[in-house]
Amino acid sequence: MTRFDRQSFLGADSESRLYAATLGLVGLGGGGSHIVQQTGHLGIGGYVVVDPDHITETNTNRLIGGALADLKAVTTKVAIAERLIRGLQEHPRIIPVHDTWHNATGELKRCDIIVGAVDSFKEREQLERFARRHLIPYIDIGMDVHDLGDKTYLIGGQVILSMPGKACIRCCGLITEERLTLEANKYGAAGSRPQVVWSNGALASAAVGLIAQLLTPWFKEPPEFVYLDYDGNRGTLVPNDRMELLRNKICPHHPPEETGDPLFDVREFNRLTADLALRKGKLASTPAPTSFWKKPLAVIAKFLGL
Amino acid sequence: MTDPTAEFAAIQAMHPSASLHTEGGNPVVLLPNFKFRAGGRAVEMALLLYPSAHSGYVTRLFFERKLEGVGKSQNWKEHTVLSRKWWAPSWKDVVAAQPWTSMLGAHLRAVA
Repeated sequence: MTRFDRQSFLGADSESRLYAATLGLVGLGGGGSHIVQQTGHLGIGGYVVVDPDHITETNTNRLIGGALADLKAVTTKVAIAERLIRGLQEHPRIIPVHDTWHNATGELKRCDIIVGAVDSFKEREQLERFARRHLIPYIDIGMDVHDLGDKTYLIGGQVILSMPGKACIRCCGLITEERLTLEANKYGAAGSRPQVVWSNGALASAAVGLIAQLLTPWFKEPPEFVYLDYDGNRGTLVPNDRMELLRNKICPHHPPEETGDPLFDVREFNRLTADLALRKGKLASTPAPTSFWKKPLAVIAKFLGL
Repeated sequence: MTDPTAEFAAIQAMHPSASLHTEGGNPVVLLPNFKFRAGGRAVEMALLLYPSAHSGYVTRLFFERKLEGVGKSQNWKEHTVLSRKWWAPSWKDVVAAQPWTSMLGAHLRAVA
């Protein structure tokens, strides 16, 4: 009996498939931290966890794995994620990037799936474009609270699976020029929007379900495009009306000729590989100390001009 | 409606190592080692001209490095375009309906 016996229906080799997979998680706040926890339980083995922030008091209503003691310690969100994963996995492969995802593209392009739990439309669109270029499935989750007036609020959200060649988040109407312009006029600041733990959890759970469908033999035909709408007031998560209409649509926003890295440079590749190795701790960040017996030889060599 | 091929030819006449790419189905011009003046001094870096709407702006110019506090530029943000990280200031209203060479100049006024 293994700890994964209760999920053996996912397929005969699902355990090894999940362990072999590497997940890119961008944004480790309310939504992303749920995904970290659930994928740790599920048995995903590899992680690139990316977030530039540390925990703050207003995060503690929803940041899974974050403790009140982390406030005083000013613990980074990537450190919280790493701690959470290591508490659930014996030998995880984790690359924590305490920075924006723009500085983690070398690591993210090696992931099997990228999940974006980011605040802004601009970041969503650029992250999806990046994933498409590298033929990586992208899952987007997001929630918002809408003020309906008269002290009435509607919790809404979405989960979108964006696969290369299929409908994208622009096709879904989530990204529009109007929304991007409105956001840019606020200088991209998402502000401190209302967020609650259970809605983030519902959206993250649906996303983890999609990850399991993509990675394991559970589904004979893995999903190619998914667009789910969350209504937090009704407690429903249902396919968006457009999902059926967009199912076989050829996406005009990500033409196939845009696949690949147009600025690939082997020298840059070598630098990235070295950076990656450093982050994984395969190489020391400082040169190895010279053995005591080599030091006199080095002095003599320098004297002789060798 | 501008003709990307003709517009790019004009850019390339000015900067022969320029190359034309696409992102999101839109043309993007890479200008490697582009020399310009920023804050009164000579600067050389790669630039990326996006001559259509991007991230809520009608057109954009991306810089290889941040030139914070230089010229009138403000609020520099990171972006990923063509799988590379770039910086762009908040510099609005450089219209798309103009030659790309003029557009480039209009954007560079942000850091002049």
